[in-house]
Amino acid sequence: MQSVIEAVEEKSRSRTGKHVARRLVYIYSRDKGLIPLSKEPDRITRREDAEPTYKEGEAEKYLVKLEHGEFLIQARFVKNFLGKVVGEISVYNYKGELVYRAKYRDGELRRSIGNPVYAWIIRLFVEKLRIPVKKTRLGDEKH
Amino acid sequence: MKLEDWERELLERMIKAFKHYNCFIYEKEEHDKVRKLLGKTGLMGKVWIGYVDPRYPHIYIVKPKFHDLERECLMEIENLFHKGSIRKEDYAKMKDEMIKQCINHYTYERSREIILIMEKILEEKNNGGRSIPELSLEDL
Repeated sequence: MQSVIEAVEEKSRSRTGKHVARRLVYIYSRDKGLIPLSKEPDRITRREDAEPTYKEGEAEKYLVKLEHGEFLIQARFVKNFLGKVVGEISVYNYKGELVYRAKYRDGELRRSIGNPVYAWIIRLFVEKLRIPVKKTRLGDEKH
Repeated sequence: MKLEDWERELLERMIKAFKHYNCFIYEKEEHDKVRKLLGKTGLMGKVWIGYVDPRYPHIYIVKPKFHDLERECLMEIENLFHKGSIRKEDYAKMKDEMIKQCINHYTYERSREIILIMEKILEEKNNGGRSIPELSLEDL
């Protein structure tokens, strides 16, 4: 069973260069693990230009094909002029449903939407991308 | 906030002094360091720096800053008296003591506030605080 999900990749910065926006798309499959969408070009069924957050740079919208049991991870980060990064990481299942979302702020990852059984995907993503995390509140912590 | 070793040490000493004596006394050699640290921690507006005694210009003191605290306390006590909370005989007899007590109270409260700010800064440093590496979006 297959389904198609919309995702956006972006890399843009403001005219002064002080603000930066980044959107990333990753796919998690049982066989290959966590891989960026750019390494799986045959999964993209359609691509079109999208409006970037800031003036300089580009954004692209994809329609991504997912197999049964796979997850799509869409992360969005924005850096302000103080160098502070805020963002969110969303996890979609193969049906295109949003199953989990965590927000990233002040080096802390916190559950926003979804069942904590999907928190491991966020942990994997953060580990793979080496995102500095001070504290997590993803709902799966042992107390 | 990133603190150097000497700043950390000085901050710890200041906390200890404020906890015991509601002030911090130091010698002239450390004056620049103290001013620098207070500026960095944003406490300059909350403290007063000056000579302990004008006769000894090499000993300085840092203490909570107030704007005419004595007058404020006097007004507070007069207000209480006019409201009828204090009896006339007590007011006449204990007025000076009450003002003193009021000043002590506000000094103590302000010291606690300063200590809390300092401890928070130290804790931030100990726990890593903002010292986790910055996330560079370019490298993602």
